[in-house]
Amino acid sequence: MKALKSPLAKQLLSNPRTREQLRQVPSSTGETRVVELRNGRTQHYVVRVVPKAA
Amino acid sequence: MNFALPALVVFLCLLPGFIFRSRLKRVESTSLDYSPFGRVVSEGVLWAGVLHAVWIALCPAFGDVADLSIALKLLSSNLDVHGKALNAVATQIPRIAGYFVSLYAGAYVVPSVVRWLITKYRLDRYDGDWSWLFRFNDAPWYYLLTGADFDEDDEPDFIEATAIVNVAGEPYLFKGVLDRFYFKSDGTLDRLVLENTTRRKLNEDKGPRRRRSAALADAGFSAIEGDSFVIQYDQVVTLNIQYKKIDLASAAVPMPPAASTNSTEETLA
Repeated sequence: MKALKSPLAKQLLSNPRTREQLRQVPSSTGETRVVELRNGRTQHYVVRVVPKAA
Repeated sequence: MNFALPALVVFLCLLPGFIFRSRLKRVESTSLDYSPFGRVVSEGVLWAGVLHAVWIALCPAFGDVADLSIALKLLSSNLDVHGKALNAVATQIPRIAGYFVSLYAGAYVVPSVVRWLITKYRLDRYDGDWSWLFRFNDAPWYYLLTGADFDEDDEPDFIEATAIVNVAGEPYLFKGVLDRFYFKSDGTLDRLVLENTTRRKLNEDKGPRRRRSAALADAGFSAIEGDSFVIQYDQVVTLNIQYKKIDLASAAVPMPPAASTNSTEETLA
């Protein structure tokens, strides 16, 4: 069964540079990590931990 | 050749209920359903009754009327009554065949569509108004690892799984983005497929310098080259799941300093 993975996450994971940056994402709630995607133009994304729904 | 025709008739009448039940339920076992036997039978019989009631009610819409007396006579042990019923069945085989073929097809298709609608509109979310009716209580891993319990707007973008696995007697921490997961036939997890996987020895947590900072705990992971990393769930000592959300940064944000995944000593120094 496929696990949760959004198209944006797939896009970032398919790029070697952002893939590397995603390894540095903090594990603590409240901390964030900025990921830079250079794909024609540069875009910045903020990755953060979110609490479980239930 | 002798065979119990009444038993066959009962089987043919109840079969759609069991088909319907198996297609509607989301369970995490592929070959065995560990639901109590009484529950399986009662649900199957209930769904069979509902399906027959609906199909019989729909018959007039197709210009036909279901003659239930023939079915009752087929169950009779009186050979005379039984024989007349068989003759009646023989004269209307296409109608009866049409009834059962459409019933079996409906028992397969309708619950599949219902399950798809439940999943699409998240009617089974833990806090949904209809979760008492639609929640698949036999599929806890499904809710944990697919994000089905999240509101669509708040849904995370990916799941990071961290597992402790003993490798040659030493506990290692494996961390990666969860890609897929598979079940065994009894419904327990069989294996997890991670991507973008890193690892480090768990014993490195014991260093006094590492304990000082949570950030340092994330350092020291070595990247594992490859597209997919498979972990057998039997070998996992503990499993940690974290949901991560990716948002587009609204303004120019400072980038963190580039760090290597294998830079524990530089960070600590």
